[in-house]
Amino acid sequence: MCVGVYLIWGCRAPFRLLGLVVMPLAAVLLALAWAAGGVGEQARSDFGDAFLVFHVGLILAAFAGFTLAAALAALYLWQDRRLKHRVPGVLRLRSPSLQTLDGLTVRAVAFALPALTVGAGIGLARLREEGASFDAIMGLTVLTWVVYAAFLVLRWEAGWRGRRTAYLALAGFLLVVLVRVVLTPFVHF
Amino acid sequence: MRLVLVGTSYQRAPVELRELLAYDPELRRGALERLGGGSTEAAVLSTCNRTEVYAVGAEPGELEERIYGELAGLSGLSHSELAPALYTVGDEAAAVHLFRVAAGLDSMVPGEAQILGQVREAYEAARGSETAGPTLHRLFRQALRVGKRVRTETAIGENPASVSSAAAELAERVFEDLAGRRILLLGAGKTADLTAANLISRGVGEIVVANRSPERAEALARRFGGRAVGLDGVEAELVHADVVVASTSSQGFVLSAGQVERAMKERRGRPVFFIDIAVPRDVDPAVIELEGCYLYDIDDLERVVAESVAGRREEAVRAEAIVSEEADAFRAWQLSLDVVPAISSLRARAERIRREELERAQGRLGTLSPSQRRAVEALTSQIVAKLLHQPTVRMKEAAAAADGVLYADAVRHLFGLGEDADQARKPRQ
Repeated sequence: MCVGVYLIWGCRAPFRLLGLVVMPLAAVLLALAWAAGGVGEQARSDFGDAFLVFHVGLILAAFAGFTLAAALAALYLWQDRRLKHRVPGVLRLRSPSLQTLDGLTVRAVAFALPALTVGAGIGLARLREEGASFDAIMGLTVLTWVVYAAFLVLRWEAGWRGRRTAYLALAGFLLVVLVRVVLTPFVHF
Repeated sequence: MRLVLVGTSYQRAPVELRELLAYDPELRRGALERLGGGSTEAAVLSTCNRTEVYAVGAEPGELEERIYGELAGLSGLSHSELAPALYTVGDEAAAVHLFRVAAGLDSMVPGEAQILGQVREAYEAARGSETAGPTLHRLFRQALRVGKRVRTETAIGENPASVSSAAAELAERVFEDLAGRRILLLGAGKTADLTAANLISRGVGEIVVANRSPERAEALARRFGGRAVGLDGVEAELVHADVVVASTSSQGFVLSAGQVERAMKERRGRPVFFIDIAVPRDVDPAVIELEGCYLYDIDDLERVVAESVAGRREEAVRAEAIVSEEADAFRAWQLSLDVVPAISSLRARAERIRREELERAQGRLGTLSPSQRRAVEALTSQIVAKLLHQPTVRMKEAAAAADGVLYADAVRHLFGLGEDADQARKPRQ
């Protein structure tokens, strides 16, 4: 999905350097999926196909966007550190400018947050219909949404940028990891 | 035909001598007219760091003498005065030398890009004067290809080699590009001038010059199409500037961390890049601690340049491999020249015999329809081509192994090709 996002939206001349982030990320995620046996035959779900497509698809798309944003933020912090510390070899490695990385992080979050909003909204509506209880994963998903919404508000309204937003994107990603990797296999579905 | 190079460069001659040996376009045209013509080919490469004359002719010793005479005439120096500064190289070594020059491997700063344009200029001048024959056409085209390959297949030209270009490239690591950015110049000295020129070449938007002397600030601002302010207006300008180039002769800091901090609050997190090339420094080093501030002083920039030049040297090893590959190709082409005339003569002789025999057989064959006529033509051509294919391949292989001359002589002798071969040896124009 990360690669899909890149191919649809990021694979244009100004953003082509995104491939630097996307390809290693896709490779790592694929390796993790193999290691976890996630590419085998799927167990049947009790949920309807349309619900799965919209809810799971959108949540996964959002997580892909947040993952991309985190990778870009990490690259930003690395590049920022090299420039701040005046590393003599700073120009020897080609990398996108801080401004580009910062802008792309914001775009990735701006793409992912609406997907998370709709995906989680569908899930919550279903939850109300069935009268199921609010579990830990839902609580953390809402918290994740709050962090990323704060990210965009602070970026667009309060003029936050650079290191501060990069750290915020990474903090949000920690929640994504917690939801997706730690809690989802045990709590949800 | 032999290739001869006589020349000098910054490695052999001081600038005083190089000045005397520099050709402007008019002088070069005259030199080409004197050196070239007939079966002699000539090209002159003249830059601020080198003057090299490439010539192709039957007698290398005579060519060398003529080039020495030409350079002596240009400089007003005698042969003995010129000799220690000049190098003479022939054939393959001369080709390798030009390939290295075009690749920027023989330049003061490895990989500098300007030389490739100068090699192209030398070639165009030789073409314009009609003194570039088959050898120089091949040599210069291949040299231009080497130059392009080295710059696209290696990173030799990618990193900056001067403080001003390093400063500009660092600024580009913060901002995507400098187009439309606002530059604040503190001080109106020579260094600020150079750095500003580099930034302007990258398309910066507005330039603001602040200097203790308003006249100098005005003069520099006028030159760059910017505007001048007094040093008291610096803090206000800092709110809008993206890149600050500081190079005043002030004994204390012109920009304190407090001033920058106040400006940063108004910038709403927009970064600013400080290039402090003044000694003593103009910008308080504590500025680096502020969020969104990047500061490089002259030592930092020089370290970046040293690292980048070291990187260019590492890339030079890869570039040398490309030069060597292309030199092999040039050598193979040169060697193939030994057998090309013999092959051409042999094919011409075979074709003549085929036509003569066809005409002779015309009476016996009777009236042929056009399609029958074409069939007979094709049949006889195929027989000739098949017969000559193997000897042609063998001769080319022998040429690559440096035995081409022996084989060519043997073919000429066996088929009696002497006159044909002499005809074919004349250089193609």
